[in-house]
Amino acid sequence: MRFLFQLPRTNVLRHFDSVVLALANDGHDITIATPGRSNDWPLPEAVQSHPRVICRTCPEVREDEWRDAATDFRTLVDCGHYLESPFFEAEKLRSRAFRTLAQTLTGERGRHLSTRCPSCNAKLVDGDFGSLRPALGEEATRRLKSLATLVENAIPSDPGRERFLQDERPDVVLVSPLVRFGSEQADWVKSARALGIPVGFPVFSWDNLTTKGVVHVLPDCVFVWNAVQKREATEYYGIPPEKVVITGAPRFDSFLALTPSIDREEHCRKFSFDPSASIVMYLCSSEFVAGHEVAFVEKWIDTIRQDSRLASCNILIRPHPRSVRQWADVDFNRFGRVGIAMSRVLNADQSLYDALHHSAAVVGLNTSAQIEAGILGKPVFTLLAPGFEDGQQGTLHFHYLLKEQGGFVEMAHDLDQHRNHLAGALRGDVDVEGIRQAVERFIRPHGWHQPATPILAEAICNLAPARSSAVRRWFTAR
Amino acid sequence: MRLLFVLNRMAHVRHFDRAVKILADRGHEIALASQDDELDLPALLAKQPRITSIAAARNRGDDWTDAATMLRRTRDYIRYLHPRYASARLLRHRAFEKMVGSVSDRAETLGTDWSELLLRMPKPEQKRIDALLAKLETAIPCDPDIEAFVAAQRPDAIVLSPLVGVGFTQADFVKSARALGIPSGLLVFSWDNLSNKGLIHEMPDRMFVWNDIQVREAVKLHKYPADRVVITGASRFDEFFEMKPTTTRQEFCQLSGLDPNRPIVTYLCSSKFVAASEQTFVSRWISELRRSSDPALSGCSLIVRPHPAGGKGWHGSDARDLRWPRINEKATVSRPFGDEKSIVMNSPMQNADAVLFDTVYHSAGVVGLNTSAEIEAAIVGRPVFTIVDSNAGGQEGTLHFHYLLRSQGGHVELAGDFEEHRQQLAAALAGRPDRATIDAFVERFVRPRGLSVAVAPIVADAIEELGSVGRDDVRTTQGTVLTES
Repeated sequence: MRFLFQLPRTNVLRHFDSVVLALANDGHDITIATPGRSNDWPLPEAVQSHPRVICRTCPEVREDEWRDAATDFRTLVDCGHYLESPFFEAEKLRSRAFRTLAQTLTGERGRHLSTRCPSCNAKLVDGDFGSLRPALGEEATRRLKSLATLVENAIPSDPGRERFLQDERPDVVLVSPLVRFGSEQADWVKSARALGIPVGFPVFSWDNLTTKGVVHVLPDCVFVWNAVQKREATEYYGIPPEKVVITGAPRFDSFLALTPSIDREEHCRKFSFDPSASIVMYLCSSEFVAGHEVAFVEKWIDTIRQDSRLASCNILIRPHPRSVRQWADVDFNRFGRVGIAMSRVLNADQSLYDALHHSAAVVGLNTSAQIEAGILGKPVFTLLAPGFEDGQQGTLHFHYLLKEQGGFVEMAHDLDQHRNHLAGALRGDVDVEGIRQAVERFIRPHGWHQPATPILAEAICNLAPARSSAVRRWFTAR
Repeated sequence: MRLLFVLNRMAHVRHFDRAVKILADRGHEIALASQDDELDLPALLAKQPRITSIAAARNRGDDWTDAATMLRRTRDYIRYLHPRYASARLLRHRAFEKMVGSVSDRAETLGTDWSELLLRMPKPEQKRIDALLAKLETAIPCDPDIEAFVAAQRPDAIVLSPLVGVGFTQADFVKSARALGIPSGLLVFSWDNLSNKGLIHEMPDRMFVWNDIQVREAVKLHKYPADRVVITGASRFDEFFEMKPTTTRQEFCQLSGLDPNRPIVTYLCSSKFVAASEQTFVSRWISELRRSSDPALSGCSLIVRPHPAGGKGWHGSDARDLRWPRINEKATVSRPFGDEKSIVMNSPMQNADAVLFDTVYHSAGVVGLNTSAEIEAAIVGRPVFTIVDSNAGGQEGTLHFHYLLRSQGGHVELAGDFEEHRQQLAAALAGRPDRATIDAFVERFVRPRGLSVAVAPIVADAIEELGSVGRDDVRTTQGTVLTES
C-alpha cells in the first residue's frame, strides 16, 4: 500500500518517524509530503535512506480563489473556539488565537490591530482582544458552529491538492498536526475525501486538542494517545467516537527503549555535583507556557537552598529545547551544585534520559518532559507559580497530569507545600507503581509493554481498503 | 409580461403604487409578494384585476437561515467601520446590535462603545474582512423554498424593495432569480436607503434610483456597476406634486386654533432613530424662538408635526380629533407645550398627506432635524431650516442629512446654534422664499427628468425594460468587494 504523510514541515515527523519506518519495513510505500521551503528538521537517516520512503514537495497554499478566504475563515473559527465555555479561563490561549488572527488579517508582523477597551479604555493590541472575554452563550455557540460547518462544507476541494494526490495515488493520507490556527491542512483532508482517499489524523501531542485550532474538516479517523484525548476529540470537536482510535503515543517508544549511557559518578562529574547528594531536576517549559522562566528558576533555587532538608541537594536545570537562548549567559554558580543541561534534541533525548535517570525528583511548570520523567518512574512536582497562571491552570492539558485528575504530578499551591513535597521525595517517599500506572494510561493505554508504534501503524493500515496486520507482527518480532 | 414584486411589507408599495398600476393598466400581470402578514392591497391597486397579492417567505427555510443572516449582518456592520462613516455612531451601533443579535438569537441592547471597538481597524484589514465575507456570500446556496416560490410565479422579472435592510433576506430572492435566469431589479425605497441601511448582498440586474446622488452612492458605497443604474426620480411624490391646498388660510387656522394674522412656522419631527429625544429638543426650540428679538418670530404660530411612525406621546390631554374639510380625513390637535400659539397637529396619512400639505402650504418656514418631510416642504416651495442637535445621532452622523443642505446643493439652511437659526427664520418670515433654489433642488433630487414630468411612468418603463433582459444577460456579480483600498 501507499501511505502519504502530509506535514507542514519535516519537524512534525519526529513524533511519527517510528511509524513511518514500521510501515516501510512492512513493504509499504511512504511519501512524506511537505511544502519544501518550510522543512526545518533533517529526517532521521533510517527514514531518509529507506528505499520505500520518498519525500515530495507539495502545494503550500490553495491555488483557487478561496486561498485567502479559507485561511481567514478558519482562523476566525479557531478564535471563536476560545470563546466557548470550556475555554473561558484560557485567556492565554484565547489571546494567542486573536494574535494569530491579527497576523492573518494584517498579513505581516509589522502591522497590528489596536483599539481601546470600551470598559476601561486600556489600549488593546492584537492578542489583547482575547482579554475582553466575550463569552458565548449556548445558543450563540450552536449557531456559530452551524455557520462554520455550513461554510466549511461549501468551500470546495482545492484543485492543486487534488492534482497532487491524483499523481501520488496514495491508499491513505495522514495529516498532522492539522489543528494549527487557520490550518491549511484542512484542505488536504478535504481533497483526499473528495477523491475517496481515506484520511487519518494522528494527534501530534498531548496538548494539541486543547491549545490549538479546531478540526475544520473531519478526517475518517483520529488516532489519539489515550481516553482523555478521545473525550477531547468528541466533546470539543464533535468527532464521532467510532472515528477515534486510541493508539498510545508512539513518540515515546524510542525513549522507552533507551538505557542509561553514563553512570551516576560520571553524570555528577559532568556537572560538578556531589555524588553523595540527591539530584533534583528542573524541567523548563516552553516560552509560550512560561515566558521568561530564568528569574523564576533563580528564585526557586534560592528557596530550595533555604530549606535545610533540601539545601545540600544537587540541582540540574534543563532549559526547554526551543528556549535555550535565554539561558546562554545564565550563571548560577553562586548557589553551588547547580548545573544547566542544554540540549536542542526534541525526541528520544539520551541526555534527558540520563539526567532523569539519575534524578531523585523532578520539577516543572507545564511541559512534556514531565511525561518522560514519569516514564522513568520519577516523582514529578509542580507548583502554582505567580505570573504563570495562564500557562498552567489557564490551559486544560496542565490538569491532565495532576494526581487529583488521575495523573502522576503532585501540585503544590505554594513554596512551603512544594518544599515538603520535594523533601518527601528525597526521603524516598515515592509511589513508583502509581506513577507507572498513570503514565501507562496516558501514553500506552494498551499496556506498559505494548509499544504504540505498531498499534498506530496497524490502525493506519486498517484505514486502507486492504488491511494488514503484518506490521504489528514485524514490530513485535523485531 | 409577468412581474413579481417582493416587498418587505405590503405597506412599502405606497412608494411605487402608481408605477404598479400603470404596469397593470398596460396589460402586465403583477404579483405583489409581501413578506409580512398583510396582504390587503391599497385602494389604488385593489380594483385592478391584473394585480394580485401573495405571501412571500420572510426568511430562508433551509439550514443556512441563521448562518446567512449572521454573515450578512456582519458585513453590514463592517461597512460602518469605513472612514466615511467615522461619525456615524448611531448607524454603526444599530448594525452592531443586529449583528450580535443574529448570533445570540435575541434582541441585543449593548453599550455604544462596543460598536466602536473595531473602528480603528486600518482599511487594508477592513478590506480583507470584507473580501472574506463577500467570498462567503458566494458560498451561500439558493434557498430551495424561495427558489421554488420564484419559479412557481414564472415571472419575466422580479422587482425588490427595499433589499438593503440590515441582514434582510431579500438577497435570497435575487440569488434565486439569478439561478433561474430571471432578471431582477431594486427599486430604491427612499433617499437614505443606500447610505444608512445594510449592503446589497446580491446584486440585482438593475437599480432604479431617484437621482444622480444615488447613482454615486450605488457605485461608491455598493460597488454597483454604473451602467446598470437607471435614474427614474422618486415616484412616491407624484401625488404630492398634484395636490392643492384643501383649506384656505382662514379655514386652516380655524381648524387648528391658530391666529390667521400671525405667520406660521412648522416643525417636522424626525424618526425616533434619527432623534430619540426630540420632545425635549422641541420644547427648547419653542422657548428659543420665543426669545427672538424679532416680534414676528417671537409671536408666530408654531405647529409641531410628529413623525408618522412616532405620533404617540406628543399630544397633550386636550387633544381633539377633527375632520379635514373636503377630504374627510382625521387630524388631531393639541396644545401640550403650555404655549397658546404652539400646537401639535398630525394625521394618520402616510403618503400624500393632505394635512401635511396644508400645514406646510400655510407655513412661512419649515424646520426639521433630518426627515423626508423636508423634501415635501420643498415640493410645496417652502424654505426649510435645520439646526444642529448634538443629541440627534441620526442627523450629522448620517450621510443623507448632508444631501439636503444648501451647502451641498440642497435647499435646507443649516444653523450651528439657535441665534443663527432665529436669524434665518426671522429673515424667512420677513421675505419671500428663494423659490428658484428650492425648485432646482426638487428637480435634481426627486424629478431629475423635469419638474413637470411625473416619475411613475418612468419607473414603469424601466421595469418593462428589465423584463426584456434576456436570460443570458442575467449577470453574475457575486463576490464584489466593497471596501476601497
